Amino acid sequence: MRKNDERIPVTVLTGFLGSGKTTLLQRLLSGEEGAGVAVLMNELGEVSLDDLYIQKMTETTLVLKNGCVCCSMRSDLQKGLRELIDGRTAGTVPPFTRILIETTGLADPTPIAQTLVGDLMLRRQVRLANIITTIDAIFGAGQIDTHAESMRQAAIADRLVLTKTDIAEPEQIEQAKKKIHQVNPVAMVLDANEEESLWPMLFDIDPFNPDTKSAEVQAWLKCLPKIHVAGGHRIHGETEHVHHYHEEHHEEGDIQTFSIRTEKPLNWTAFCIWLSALIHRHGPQLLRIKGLLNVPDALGPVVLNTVQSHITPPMHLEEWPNEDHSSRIVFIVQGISPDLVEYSLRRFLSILED
Amino acid sequence: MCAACGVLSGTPDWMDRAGNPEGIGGKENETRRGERQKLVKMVNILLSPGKAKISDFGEKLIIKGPTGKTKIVDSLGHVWVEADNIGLRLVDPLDEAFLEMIGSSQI
Repeated sequence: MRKNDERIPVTVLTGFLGSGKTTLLQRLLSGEEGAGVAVLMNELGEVSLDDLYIQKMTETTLVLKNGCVCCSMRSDLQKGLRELIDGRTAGTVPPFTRILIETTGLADPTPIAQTLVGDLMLRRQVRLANIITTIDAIFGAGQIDTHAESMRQAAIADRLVLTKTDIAEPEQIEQAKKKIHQVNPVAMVLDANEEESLWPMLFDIDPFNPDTKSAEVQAWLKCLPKIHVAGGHRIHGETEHVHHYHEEHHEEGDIQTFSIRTEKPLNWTAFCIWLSALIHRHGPQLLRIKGLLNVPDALGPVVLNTVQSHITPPMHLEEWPNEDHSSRIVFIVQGISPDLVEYSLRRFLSILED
Repeated sequence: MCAACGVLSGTPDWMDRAGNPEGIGGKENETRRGERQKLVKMVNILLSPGKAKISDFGEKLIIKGPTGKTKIVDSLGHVWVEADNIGLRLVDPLDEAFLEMIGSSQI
């Protein structure tokens, strides 16, 4: 039984042009925390590192005063990651326990996730841990409205960092928070100017860290009462009652957030068949799926986490967060009907369990 | 290696329970063979409208298309890929016609 994953966690930092991503990265690299972190960026010159580094290992690798290792991947993520890990093994790169990848211009991290699992060596050594998206407090609401890339970056995130709150008007901040809540109500929202140290909130709560994975799950479970519950139509012979919460219908553009809940324990094989077929056929539109599942005879409640076509191998918690042992799944999707997803799952479970 | 699911040949699939030390755990008396038989039975319900089927083949699966053409695949994720390759773009959980079809084929 795997209690925690020993592979190197990889965090993806993304954000729309001008959203403050580079500034945030600069702050992270300038801070005291950073030892044990390797940062992969497209070019070292993107961030001002002249006053920060103490050693230039190679043309593409710097060691910073706070212990961070900064590497340039020069648009080849696979090669950059391999060189980083090979360097660690060979001792030519200082040891690190986490990798932060800064994206440039990518609308979503699916290509990064695919690189991590598609390479035989990388898949054994690294895993996608979380996705951080910066949102401009001044222009972010409008950018999400007008730019599909911005909307997807927000929808896909585990952490949303609101930037420029020190110069934004209160109404602008309120608008930005409202907008990102509509697109992604389950992500943790942080104010870059309010948190003295962003590091613990950005990185330390990791679903694969046995000390914090329960906190990660509880954080998004708290959002459930405000998320639209899909479905509610009984199929012939169904006896389960579908609960409806007081809900806000989260729909932004064609991105929708909804949840599915079932009190009856899930048939794991039937559920996995449904999920794998759904992801195979509609992966790019399934921006995020997060679930806490009641599976008979499992070692504990099962944690589900997917990013588009990438399924993180399910883990389990040691115990349920509270007395509610129903299976709850949150979906953030684009161009997909919530009710059809719910109906599809019920249909598959009904047909395959017979 | 399946790019879609990242499953390596010979490694436990993320959904495997019996005999998978990295899995979510399962019934004490459940065997890997028993688990796979359930999987095969369920998947064949979905493939039957297209007159295709899978069968267990040791640690792998064999998918057989309507023309009799067969292909060995590593895991469930690959089944959908190969079903597409043999022209069976049938299994779509969000296709209402498909959802109705799988129900009626049980009769």
